[in-house]
Amino acid sequence: MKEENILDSEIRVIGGNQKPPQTPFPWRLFAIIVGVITVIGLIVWWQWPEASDKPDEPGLFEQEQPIAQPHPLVNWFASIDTIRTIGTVTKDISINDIPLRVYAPLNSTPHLEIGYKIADNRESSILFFQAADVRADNGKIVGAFVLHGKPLSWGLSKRGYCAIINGEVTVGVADNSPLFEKATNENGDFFRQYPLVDNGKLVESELKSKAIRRALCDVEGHIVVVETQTIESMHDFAHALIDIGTSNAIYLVGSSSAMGWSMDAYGNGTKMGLWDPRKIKNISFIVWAK
Amino acid sequence: MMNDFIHLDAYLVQIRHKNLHISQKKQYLCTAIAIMTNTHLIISTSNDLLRVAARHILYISSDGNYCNFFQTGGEMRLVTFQLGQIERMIADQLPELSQNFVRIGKSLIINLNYVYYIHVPKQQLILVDNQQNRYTLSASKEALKALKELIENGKL
Repeated sequence: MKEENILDSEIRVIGGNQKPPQTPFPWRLFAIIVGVITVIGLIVWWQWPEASDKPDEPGLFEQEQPIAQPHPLVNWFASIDTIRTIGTVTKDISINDIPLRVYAPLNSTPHLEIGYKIADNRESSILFFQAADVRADNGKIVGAFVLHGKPLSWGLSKRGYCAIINGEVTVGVADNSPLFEKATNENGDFFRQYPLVDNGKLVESELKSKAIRRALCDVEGHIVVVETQTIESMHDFAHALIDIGTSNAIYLVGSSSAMGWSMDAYGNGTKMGLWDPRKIKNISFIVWAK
Repeated sequence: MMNDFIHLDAYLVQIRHKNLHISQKKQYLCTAIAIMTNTHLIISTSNDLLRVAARHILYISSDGNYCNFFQTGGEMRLVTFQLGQIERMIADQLPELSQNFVRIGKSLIINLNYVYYIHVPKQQLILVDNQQNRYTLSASKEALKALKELIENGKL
């Protein structure tokens, strides 16, 4: 044996390199521990999504979140006789302490018009509001504009758009919309405005002042015009639009002076804004004709 | 003492181990018994058994294939084992005390506790037991020098 190999000139401390026999690795205990940890991990993993779904308890000074309520226009849309009614149905509501008036044109044909001629023929329309902005310096329309299939203006100054093709109004937010070409090809209308709501999400606006605000909105497939009754910021207005269920919305020319017209189902018309015809050549309107 | 228990536990685990050869188990059993009986070296043959307290072992010298056990008090006993086998028994049965024993060359194991005098040039090693009996041994110069250094360095 190696240990016995020692010379007379050497010494060796006995047991100096001795080690006690190694205890065999406790595989059974190890397997049990691993199994228990795995089971606990699976349980935690299984329960975790449910736990995270549970709403947190509100703090002592924390306001409890209000339970989501259906927006106030849900029942209103259902109650309207959309087959026989010809005219604009209005509803006044208040959202987030912002008084809003909702205009829903029924059984009408939407299109765009340019010029003040519409003011003289207002009896033929059940609703119209100013649509695209006009530049103050040169009187040209801001952004892409198509009138009855004829492009009158190009360019992207505002990401919101409204396309009227075959009597159907589409409101959306996009840098490039194929509906511009489609409106051109199919004798439709198209204009651009500030975006307010994009697929249910608020779009911040560069306009920071407060004014009477108007918007063209798509609320659950219904195209309506919403107008504030008090001066509001664009942000608060867009937020209120989301709260009434708007999926997409673009701005319409606002302020208390912007022209508008509404006629109810009984033929009673209401003028809005200043009807003092200014000689602005390119003033545009979105019109719902009888 | 705590180390004793740790080692004893390790040996007992080995003895219970299923895959261990019976001869190895016997050796571990001997060691476990020695640990439990604490400080005694057990040298067992088919006919007799010698049980000596480690503190009583003065030195062991080889005598051919046998060994002479010199114990304190002057008692000497011949055992029918080779010195290498005795060395292994000490290492196995006295795991904590074995480091008191030093193998010097081919023919000597001494208990360091009784080293009294080393003279390297004269190749002289003197042990003194508790009763002041002197035992003069001889070893190589190199081995004695190494032993001297070992004690000087206080490694033990």
